[in-house]
Amino acid sequence: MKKTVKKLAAVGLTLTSVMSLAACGNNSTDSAASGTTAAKEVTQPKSFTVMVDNTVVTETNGGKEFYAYLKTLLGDGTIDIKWIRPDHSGYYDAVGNAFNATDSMPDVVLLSADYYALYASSGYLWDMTDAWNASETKNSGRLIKTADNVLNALQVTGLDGQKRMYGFSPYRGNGCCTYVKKTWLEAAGHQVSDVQGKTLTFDEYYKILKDMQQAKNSVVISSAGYIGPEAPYTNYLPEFYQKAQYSFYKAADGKYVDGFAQKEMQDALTRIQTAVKDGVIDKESVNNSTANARDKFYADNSGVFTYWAGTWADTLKTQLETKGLDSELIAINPIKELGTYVERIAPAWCITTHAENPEGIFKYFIDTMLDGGDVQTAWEYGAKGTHWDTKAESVTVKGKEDKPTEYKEGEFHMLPSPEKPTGLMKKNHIDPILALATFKNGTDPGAKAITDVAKTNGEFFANNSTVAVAVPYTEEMADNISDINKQRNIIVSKVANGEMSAADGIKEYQSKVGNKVDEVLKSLNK
Amino acid sequence: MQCKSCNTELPKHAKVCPKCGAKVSDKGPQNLKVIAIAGAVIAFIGGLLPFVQNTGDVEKAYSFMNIQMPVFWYLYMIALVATILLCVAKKEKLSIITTAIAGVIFAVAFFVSPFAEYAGRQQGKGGTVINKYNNVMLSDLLSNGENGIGMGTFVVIIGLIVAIIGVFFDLLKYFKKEINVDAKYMTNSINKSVWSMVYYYRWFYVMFLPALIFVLLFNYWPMLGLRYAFTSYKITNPYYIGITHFHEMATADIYFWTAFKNTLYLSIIKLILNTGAAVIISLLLHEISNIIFKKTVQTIIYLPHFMSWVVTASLFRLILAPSSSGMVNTFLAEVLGMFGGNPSNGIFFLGDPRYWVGSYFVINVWKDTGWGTILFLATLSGISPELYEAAEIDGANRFNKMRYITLPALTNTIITVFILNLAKVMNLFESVFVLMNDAVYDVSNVLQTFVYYKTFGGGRPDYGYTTAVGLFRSVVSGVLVIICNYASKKVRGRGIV
Amino acid sequence: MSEIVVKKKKKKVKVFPIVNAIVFILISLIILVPMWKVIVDSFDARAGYGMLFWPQVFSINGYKEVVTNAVLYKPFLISVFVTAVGSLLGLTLATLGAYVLIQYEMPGRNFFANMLLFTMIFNGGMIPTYLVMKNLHLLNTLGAVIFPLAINVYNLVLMRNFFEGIPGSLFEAAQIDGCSPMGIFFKIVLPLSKAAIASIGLMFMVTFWNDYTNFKIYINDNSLFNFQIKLRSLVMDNDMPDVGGVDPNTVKNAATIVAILPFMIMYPFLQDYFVQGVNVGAVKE
Repeated sequence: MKKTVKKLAAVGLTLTSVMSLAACGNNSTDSAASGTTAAKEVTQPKSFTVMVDNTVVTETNGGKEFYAYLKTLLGDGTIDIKWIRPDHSGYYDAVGNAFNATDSMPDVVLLSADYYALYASSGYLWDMTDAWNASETKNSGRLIKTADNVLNALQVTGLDGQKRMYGFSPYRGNGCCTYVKKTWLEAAGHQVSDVQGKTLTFDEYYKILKDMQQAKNSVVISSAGYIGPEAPYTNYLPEFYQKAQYSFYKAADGKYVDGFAQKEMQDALTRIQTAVKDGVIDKESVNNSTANARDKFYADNSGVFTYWAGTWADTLKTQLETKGLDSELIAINPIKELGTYVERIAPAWCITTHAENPEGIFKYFIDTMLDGGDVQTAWEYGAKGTHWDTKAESVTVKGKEDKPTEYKEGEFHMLPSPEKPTGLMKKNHIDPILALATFKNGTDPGAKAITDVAKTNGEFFANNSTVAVAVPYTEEMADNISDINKQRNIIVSKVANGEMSAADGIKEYQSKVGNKVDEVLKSLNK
Repeated sequence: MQCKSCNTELPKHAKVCPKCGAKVSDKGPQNLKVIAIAGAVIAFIGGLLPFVQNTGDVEKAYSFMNIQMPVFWYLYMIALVATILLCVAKKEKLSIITTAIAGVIFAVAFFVSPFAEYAGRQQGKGGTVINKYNNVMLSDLLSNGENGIGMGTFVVIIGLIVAIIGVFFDLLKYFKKEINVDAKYMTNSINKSVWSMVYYYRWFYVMFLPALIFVLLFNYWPMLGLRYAFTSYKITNPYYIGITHFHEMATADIYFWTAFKNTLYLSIIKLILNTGAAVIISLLLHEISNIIFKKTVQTIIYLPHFMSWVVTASLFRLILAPSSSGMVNTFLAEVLGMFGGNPSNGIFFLGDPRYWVGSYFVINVWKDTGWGTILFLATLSGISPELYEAAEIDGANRFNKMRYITLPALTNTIITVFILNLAKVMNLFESVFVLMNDAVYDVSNVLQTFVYYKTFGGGRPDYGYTTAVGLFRSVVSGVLVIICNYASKKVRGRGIV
Repeated sequence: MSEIVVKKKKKKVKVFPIVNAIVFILISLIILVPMWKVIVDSFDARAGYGMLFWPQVFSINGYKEVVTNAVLYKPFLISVFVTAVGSLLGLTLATLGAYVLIQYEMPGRNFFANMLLFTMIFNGGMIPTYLVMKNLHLLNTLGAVIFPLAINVYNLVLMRNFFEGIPGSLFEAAQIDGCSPMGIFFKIVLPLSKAAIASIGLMFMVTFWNDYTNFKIYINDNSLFNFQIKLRSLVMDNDMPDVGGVDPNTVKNAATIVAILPFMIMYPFLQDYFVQGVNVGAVKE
């Protein structure tokens, strides 16, 4: 007894000492860094922090040189930008962490559509509508004709319930289209002309897939998950999902509904289930990462692949070539039931409310991204002397030392990538095919560097796609969406793997998160 | 000073006579002043009362801990803890002083000092900001949002009064006749003053300092963070909401109970299987007479233990893949002719809930059985060979010997291993984490993975909620350890902690 | 003892030993085949799928890639660094702490011991620990992965058990010789505990080398990842750096081998230390 008491006393004492320790350290942070947005002269910002993922050239790939080069181009060359580069796969964890405390919040951050809507609705982002309307880029006349579609998708509801623009995308979001290998098509007894440029129905399309499955005795589609990680979610298997919506959307009557609980989704899940059972879709899709799925396509373990359009069309082709496979890919038109491919809402550059001089940052950092000159070149192609150059020299890539390419003085050319010297640098943050604005006088220095395959496919996609519709975020949505999405993904995986029928799946979904869904719907329809 | 019983000259500060062992103190045996302790505990609970609100409605959720400078609260609680400790240490006269201090702090807080108090959040520029109500008096805080003097105030005052008056009443006197000095404490050192001992051991304190700092920082500080279990902590600015999270956990959360059930199921079955397999292997291994062969086998079966879970998972994902790259499915399809000869139609071991659990156990047995044999082998090598010889003379065959000599000798070790590992069942994380995916979420999600995904899996995490789940896990885990410790003491005479 | 058994067995028909030996050969195969498969594929330039047990086209390019590609060898070096620093720190904390814990007459000793043991019963859990790391500004530093594992109460208690095995008479003798407590520590305890230090040091090394969870939770900076994290993203997410002409699967397999190599090499020689650690741990915790 006595010993126990002593033990307890020991523990108690410790706790007390620790608690008292914490009492000293308990300085609650007073928040509310309200923007002092009075009408005033826009001054050049002295320094600010920028948080980006790996879509900006990584530091192992000459990122530091890009920073230095960019610094010389912006303002009078004294703007001090502190770059924060978290790991790619953990990017949004890092963003979340950074937003945890006011002192760690970056001034500028690149956000995907979902996070953009979330943070905008929570009041973390600076409203740049006015700045954008007065911006040079908007009034330059160089914006491409689909630019408004992209930028309209960035109009989201903020704290005050008004739709405003809280971020800016310098490029289109791009999306996925379906590529079919010519060899597989022919092995299954079909001709290229049967599919190219034609609008198939789902039944026709599925028959082709089944023929391929029979002919090759292998799965035909190995996708990167049955469900994509971000809106529009259904983009890796569009032909199967067709019009089904993964998340909440505004129905024809103007009310928001839960796309996942609709009949379309049930049908879509049944189609996927059948396809998995028929061996058309790879059941390992549930585990696949994008790179896994790509690898299977390269290794000829799959013959049809729905993947990003534009530059990727070229990359897929070259990868197949290096594997010694027939590289001819046919990008098929969206099938009849699908109507059109969906373009993702582009990631947006946002200024947080933490920034001291948001007007200055917008003017000197964001507005210049598409200046049609040197800065845009830097964002599209990288740093001069590291990623591209215009001086007279001969360029060789590693492994092909015997085939140098000679360039004359003043001729724009890409250099070997610092990280992967076996190939030339392709692009920096802004994909030249997807840029929202053209160069001044139409003089894109790197126009030559874009391959025809990529360009053709990019145009093909632009003609066959519409931009996804953003879902407004509400408090209830923010609190419940991760549970709801988790359950959606579980149901998709279960149904696809044939554990339950689609109808049972939807029923289970409703019984598990139905009340959360209702709560979100109520807030959306308020 | 001299000993009363044997008249020996006593050393300074002696509490016990070194010669005859008689207690030197002339005071009679003392009892704990239970009433005083109870009073302090009541006052302490009164201080905790604002936690007990079952509402997420922030407008009404007044709470002590939302005040901007909870310094009075801390001082008050510390004073009460000191009171309890002083009572336990039989210095109850001093405890009156600390109780009085607690009372004074309380009075100051109650009448004089207004608090700036946070009550709820509001969406504002710069994210969610916390509404501040200034000039809130302690009386408001204690009354839990009601007007006038609330319950909490009475509880506190009654507690303090009982704590002071209780000092003068010896309740235990009526239950116990006498308490003797514990002989265990009668060593020579008792006769040295504490300070001379501290001086003698001064360097040891320095030596312990690093470990102390680390334990305080990385073990105790997080415990303090458990208070977030009672807060809503979404991205920034935690504020207290009482036991709302626990209520939601128990009633509304669709994953929590499954996760809890899975944790117990996976880890206990795993424990049984691993231990069983280890016992069988050890028994068989013990029968091997060729030393070199035995050593080699041992070396091989210990190997998987050194592979991280990441490596193990990669290995098995490859082997169990339902395609031509998966060895097992290829074997089943091409050699045994299952699935129509096509490995792609094979069993999706890690993506099918019906097979995942089994695969998980098999992988665990593969990885840990060998390592688990070490203890059993050590026990087996300790069995006297004479026992076997005697049995052999009695005509026992190999299996009789195993049945009647070897196995009984192992029983104690089996129980030990079981108890040691039972204490760890709530810690299940990495092995599941690296093997799970959405398709098998229902059977593979355990508490730790649940906490991980809920916090780091996107959306807007509520650290408060996941802390609450973690607190639940810690408490269950702690109770398990204590039970195991008790069992261990019963079975083998010593505890595990 | 086993000699006696051998002698006795000679009289009998040896059916059981043969069956038994076959059983163990099978068990060894079950354990070795998956590893062998990885080894084979790591040397196979074509990284053959399916049931091949010998490289089709032998090549060491996979290993060359792991050793020369910065994306791969940097995580390896970080693993080495964390393992070395962490194990040293862990050992220091454990030996010092354990030595204090055997001073049974030291005032406060029981308090310290209980304080340590309490952490084995109860802990703050994942999220509060994460928040502490954040408050200490340790997120995205190697401190976050080294410190929490370095203070390992289990290992500390283990070390204490080893120390308790030292005969008390040695201490008394040294004390009579006028040896100070620190002197005893360096002149008697440490030299006598070489085996214990090796044993516990190895345990620390295994923990640090195989650490995945802490990196996963506390680190999201690309340049600070250890080899386990890199391996995971390599194999599971196929997050492959440019590896020239080498087959990605070959690199994956080679990386897997590299991840287990250090202990594969060391372990057969140090097996006894490992085994000893386990035994002492169970005898008394």
